[in-house]
Amino acid sequence: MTTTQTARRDGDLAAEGLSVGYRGRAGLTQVLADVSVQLHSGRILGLAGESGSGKSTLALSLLGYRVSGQEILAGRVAFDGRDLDRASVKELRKVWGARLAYLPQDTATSLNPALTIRRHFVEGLRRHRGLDNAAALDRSAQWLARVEIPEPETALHKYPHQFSGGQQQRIALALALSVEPEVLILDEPTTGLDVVTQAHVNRLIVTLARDAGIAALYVSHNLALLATVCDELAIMYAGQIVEQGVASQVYAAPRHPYTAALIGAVPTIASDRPLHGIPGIPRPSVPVHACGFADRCRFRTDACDTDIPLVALAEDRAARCIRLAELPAFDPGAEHAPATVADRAAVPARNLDAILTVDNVGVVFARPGSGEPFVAVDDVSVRVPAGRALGIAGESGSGKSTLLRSIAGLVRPSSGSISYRGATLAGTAGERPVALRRAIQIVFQNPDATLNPRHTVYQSLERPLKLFRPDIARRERRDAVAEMMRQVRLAPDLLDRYPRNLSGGQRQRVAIGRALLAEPEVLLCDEVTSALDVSVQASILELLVGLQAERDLTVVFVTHDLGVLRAVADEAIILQNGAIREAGPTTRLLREPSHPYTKELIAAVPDPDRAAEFLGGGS
Amino acid sequence: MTATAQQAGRPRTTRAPRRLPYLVRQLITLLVTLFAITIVIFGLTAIAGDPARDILGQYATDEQVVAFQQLHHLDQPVFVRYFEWLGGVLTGDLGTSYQSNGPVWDVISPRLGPSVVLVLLSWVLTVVISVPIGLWSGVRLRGKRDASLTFVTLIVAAFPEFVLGLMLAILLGVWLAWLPVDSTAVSYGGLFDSPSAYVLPAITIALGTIPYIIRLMRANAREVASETYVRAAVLRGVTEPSLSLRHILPNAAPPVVTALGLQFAGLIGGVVVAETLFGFPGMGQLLAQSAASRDAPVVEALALMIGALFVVANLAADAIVVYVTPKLRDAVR
Amino acid sequence: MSADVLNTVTAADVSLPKQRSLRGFLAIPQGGFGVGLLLLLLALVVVGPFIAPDSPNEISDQPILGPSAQHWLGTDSYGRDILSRVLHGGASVILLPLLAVSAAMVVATLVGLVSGYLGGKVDSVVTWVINIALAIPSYLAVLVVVAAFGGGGAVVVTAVAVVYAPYITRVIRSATQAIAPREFVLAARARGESLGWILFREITPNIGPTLLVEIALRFTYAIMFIASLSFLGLGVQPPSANWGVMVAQNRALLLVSPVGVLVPALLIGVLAIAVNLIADALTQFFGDRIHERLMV
Repeated sequence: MTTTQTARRDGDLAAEGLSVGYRGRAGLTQVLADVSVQLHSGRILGLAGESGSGKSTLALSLLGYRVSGQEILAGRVAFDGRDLDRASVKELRKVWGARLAYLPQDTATSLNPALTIRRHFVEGLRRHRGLDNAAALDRSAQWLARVEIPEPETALHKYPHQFSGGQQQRIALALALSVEPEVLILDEPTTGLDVVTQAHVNRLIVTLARDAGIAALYVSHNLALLATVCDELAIMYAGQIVEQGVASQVYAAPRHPYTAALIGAVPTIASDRPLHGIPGIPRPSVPVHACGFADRCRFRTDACDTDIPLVALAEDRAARCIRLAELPAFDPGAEHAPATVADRAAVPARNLDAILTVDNVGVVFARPGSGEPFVAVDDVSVRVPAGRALGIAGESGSGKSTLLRSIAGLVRPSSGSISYRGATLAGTAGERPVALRRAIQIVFQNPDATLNPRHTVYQSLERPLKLFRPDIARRERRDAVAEMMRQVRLAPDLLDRYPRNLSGGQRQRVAIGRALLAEPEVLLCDEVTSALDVSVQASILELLVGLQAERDLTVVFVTHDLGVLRAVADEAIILQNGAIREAGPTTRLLREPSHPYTKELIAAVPDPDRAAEFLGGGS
Repeated sequence: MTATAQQAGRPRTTRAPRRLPYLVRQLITLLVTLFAITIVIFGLTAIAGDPARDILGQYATDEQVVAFQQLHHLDQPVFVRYFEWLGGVLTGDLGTSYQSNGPVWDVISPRLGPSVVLVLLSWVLTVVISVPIGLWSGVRLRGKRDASLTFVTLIVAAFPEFVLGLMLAILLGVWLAWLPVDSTAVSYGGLFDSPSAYVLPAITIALGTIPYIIRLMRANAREVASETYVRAAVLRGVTEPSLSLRHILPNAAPPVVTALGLQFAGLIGGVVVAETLFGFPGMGQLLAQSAASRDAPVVEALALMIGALFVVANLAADAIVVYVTPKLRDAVR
Repeated sequence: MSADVLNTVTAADVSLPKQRSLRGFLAIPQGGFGVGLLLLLLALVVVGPFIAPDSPNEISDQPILGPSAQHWLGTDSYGRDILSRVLHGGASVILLPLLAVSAAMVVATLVGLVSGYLGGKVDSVVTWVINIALAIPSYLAVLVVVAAFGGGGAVVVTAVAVVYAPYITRVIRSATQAIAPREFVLAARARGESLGWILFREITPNIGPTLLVEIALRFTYAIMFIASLSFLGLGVQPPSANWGVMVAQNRALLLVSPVGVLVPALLIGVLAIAVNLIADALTQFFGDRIHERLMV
């Protein structure tokens, strides 16, 4: 799309038909194909994509930054009349920091731990703006104040680790903006922060960037966030831009099947819309003479096997789909059939017996190093009715995982008790009778570690049968395992593979299968989808909700994501600092929160329909 | 984001156990370790039993053996001997040599100066050569030339010091005849009267540790260079040499400082071998000779002195690391 | 100690789960070269005694000869044929370190696994012992032992094994600690698996690469260390034909016949190089970073 609404001015940064590849041992892998974007002063372009879509490569390429092995195959990056992709390092270093600023992904590591905040600021201000020490310090303190760092003068003499994650991110933002650049590239700047902190940082980014008239690119996997804070939105898949346009329009009425499917996979707290995963996993490289999304697309035909151009639909709207003319604009809200969540919420909880009871449980740890005690779980009591799903939500450090692990017998509670069907559970799994260990199974968060890397899928799945299912004869185990593979929607030929040959989503399915092979009554899920791409997350959640209904399982689901909470949990508790802040049916709790902390959490969730509220809200 | 409970959470309980200041804690560590070393050193000799017969030889008379035992208090219980020895060490009496039958101190003292000079020389050589090479190769060097450097360090690292020393002696001492292959000259005249006698032993000792420090410095510099904050600095327009010296070195140096402290242990091995090889009249040569002739009092005294030096060097390195690392500086408070 | 804070080992340092093959290992320059050298040396050591022209301890009346057609590497001060001694002198250079490392590995692996996994009081005691042991330089410890018990192969092998065990324990313990909190181990605990299953079926296969690298590295150090001790006259005792002993004895002939000293010395060096190259190749091959982290 080469249409421009405004005449090109100084400071506008643009990629034109950019194609980039990496040369490695396996030859050349193309990661960007024919990408054109243009940044405009005072506006924010959102770039959304799942892992491997090429969005971070694009962010760095726009700066003219070359990773070793990276090659520009076609196109150019134009800035102020010159080609950044061909500029010498010497030229680039005059532009970097001075006119083009960059905020990298990882908060904790974007500031140098060995340097004071002052040295970070002064270095750039002296070099790029020729300020003397005093003037530089003055300007630094002003910017720290603007990003709401308390006592800016003292803050300058501190080291990065003396600030919280959110503060570090705001300092990095002030550092980037203090030199008054024309362009700001943000690469997932708030990943790793808690929702409330994320919301705060995002508000600051948007306000300050707009005030300064900066042209910004905001890269993220969080589509809802981008639709809330950006002016324009570009959706990337397999190294190509598949759709582009005004943010609110793209989100409300997507034209590309991938955009529509992606929106359908994003968990939301605002509506009862059910989640729908996209089959398969995101494609990591650029397709050759084909549509990159074809293998996961519901609308695929033979016509898709060709080079597909980005077609302009309107002056400021374009999409890359061969069937654009035939397919109507999607309505993500009404795309699919009815909600499971709403149905289950209709059953009143008090009529059901509690299968699991947590009574006044507290967990106290000794801090490593100092040995100071700190309370991870603080006097928590909760009843889990049989056959229902309880969600436990909270920010990192809220004690939600510790609580779950104490139910699983991995962390011994310091006080209180946990009982299962009226029988008190011993503190650790090893002390529990085999029947109780079988009845309560746990699935973990990290797909990279949930399976033993040295055991095949079959070995992992066979183990619970050996321990818990004497009723299944040795020679029948393979059949039982194969049947479970079918239930978690995995191909049986994966059985002899090692976890390294499986995708993250596949590993989580195996982990769920491993838990279910014990025929548990209660399934504990610890952030089982938080490390997965949105489209894969939705598939796993769909699977879990389906299996729960099918097997009449009781599920306890820990998550930091209120949208996920809404999608899976009938009842929910909100934890903060180890203590319950609020409890109740999920839908009511999210619609009419009563505790201020719950309200704060909900307000921090980006919602494109209430963008103004999100950006103006909070304090 | 589920952090494990141990690392997560805000402080809620204020009942913190009282902690002693960092330096006091370090000092206590030092004393406890030294005490443990004395027990190990003395204990090992004690377990081995009475050496009188072994040292005097099979033709010694029973009277001679008894006299030897009385002279060295070997007829007394182990604990009495340990505390006598420890008391002596604390008051500057290191005991009596089995071989010379004179005070251990008289055997050691003339060798102290040359060894200290030699060790310092080797240590400085190590730092001056390996830190810059390691930093430069970690930040700048890539591809074939980097692989070649790794190969060379691996090869040099695998040569025992006596082999390295021998090769140097043959090359520089015999073929080119630039340097003396025998360092006995050091024992005559003043400490610095024969400077050339120090060169071959010092290079030999340094070569034993240089490859290791280069590799460590290189690995750390490379790791730091790939950190987000370095990329962020590059994208703020920071250029060399500021990038290497200000942004990379302070973060890559701490493990190397620790290693340079630990490498005192490596130097000790090198000193024993190089002094023996070149006939350098130092403590290392004495240590090897005394061990061979089973002169336990001398070995004990030397082991204690060198062990103490090692422990002090480690704790000093530790303190430096804490001082140059802001995060640790706060953590030890 | 603060160094412990810097040396935090994470699971990512232990190994990368990826496809591996022997061919892939040999394709690493260090690996192919190291394995080749080692095989050559092993052939020399095994075949050597059978092709040696003379008996290694046969004393002739022609001492201190330079290389000649009859004595390719000359004779030593007792008139013994140096070539024959070289061909006989390799076995102990390889076997003694192998013995010391094997003994230390067995003990250290068990202690490291148990202490790293169980933690608590067991671990505190083990850590305390390790820290004290590491505060005593290896050379000193071994020299004290030799001074107390006398020199010789058996004493040296025992001493080196005892001195190395704490170093190995430290590595295995750290690797175990990095693996123990991983979810698959937690899953095993939640299933109520036995201690033996968790240690040997869940954890050990995952620290296998660390074990291999550790064996190769320790073997390199032990070859150098024990050869040096033999050179100092504390290890293998004369008149045994041993490369280290030969260097010590023929050193006096340095000015007359450098070859007689250089050949056994170089052979020790080449042996250590071969094993060291293999250790480095293993490190690269498995993506092991724990040794770098622990600075061993």
